[in-house]
Amino acid sequence: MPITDPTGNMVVDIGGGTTEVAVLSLGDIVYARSVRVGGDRMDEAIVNYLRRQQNLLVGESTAERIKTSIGTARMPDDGRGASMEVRGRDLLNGVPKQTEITQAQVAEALAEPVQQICEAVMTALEATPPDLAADIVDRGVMLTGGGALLGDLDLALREQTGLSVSIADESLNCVALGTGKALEYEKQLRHAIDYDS
Amino acid sequence: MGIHSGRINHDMGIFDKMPGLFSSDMAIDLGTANTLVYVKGKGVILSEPSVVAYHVKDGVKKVLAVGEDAKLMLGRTPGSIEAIRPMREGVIADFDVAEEMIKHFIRKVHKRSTFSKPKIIVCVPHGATPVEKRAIRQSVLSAGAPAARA
Repeated sequence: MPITDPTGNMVVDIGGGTTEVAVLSLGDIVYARSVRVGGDRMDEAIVNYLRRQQNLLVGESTAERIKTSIGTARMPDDGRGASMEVRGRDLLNGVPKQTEITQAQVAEALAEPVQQICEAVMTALEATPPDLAADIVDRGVMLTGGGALLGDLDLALREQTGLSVSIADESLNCVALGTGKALEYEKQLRHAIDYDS
Repeated sequence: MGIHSGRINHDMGIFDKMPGLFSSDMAIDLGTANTLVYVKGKGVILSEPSVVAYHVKDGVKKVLAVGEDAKLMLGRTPGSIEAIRPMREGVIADFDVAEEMIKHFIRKVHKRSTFSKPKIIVCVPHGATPVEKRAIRQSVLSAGAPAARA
């Protein structure tokens, strides 16, 4: 991505705790916004959903496993999608039990955090100067971070914004690689680094 | 593509600006879920969950495991062991634990820490307040760069 050119680029980094939307041009930030919604919030949403709908209490690691294996941001076309077995504690009689959760249910559980991410992108687009916004229409939005791996999130964002959305290669490593670049090209990127120590 | 992207999403902080003879400069992505360490010239050489497990006995805390091993313990610990995720919503929630974790990761990638003063860049979320940035700075300083504290 040519960040040092005078063209607009939009990057959405969905991390564990926060989602950050940034519009970049000439090697610096034009507009950035951070919302505190990320992978953790999605896990919580799954835990809450199972507790409310199925009276099943599952741990955070189970929720995370559900998210990474069948998690999706969009209702599957057949209204059901893949399913997986989930084990947890029954809230009614307190014994462990096993049940099945479908992709449609996961999509319903994740609707709220996904919506918040979409809203953050929309707000950023509204606040972007028109010429840069035109560039973004041209070049699309880049998703990075672990959250970008959530199934169909790119499609959901595309439906909401009408922009083309792509997922970065190695999206989990992006931030570290990018910071590493800052280390290697320190001179060019000096303005973005906060030095006092 | 995408390589520059993560960087620009974040403000940077440099903690120690004295490149030593043995130093290997590092870039750290201190994430809520995972911590990644990039070493100049080598690429990303460490990627582990941001979790620390403590053994607490008679009020004394002892680090039991960090990273992958500690993550397996999350939610499955007996009373005497605490598995903690020190990062919440992109910033340090538990100062001491975060420091311990950074120390562990830096030592893991950087063996000769006593001789050198590596330059370290850490990513912080865009919305982080100065207080939160300072917390991260302090943690990294006391974890990896003792000479920079002065």
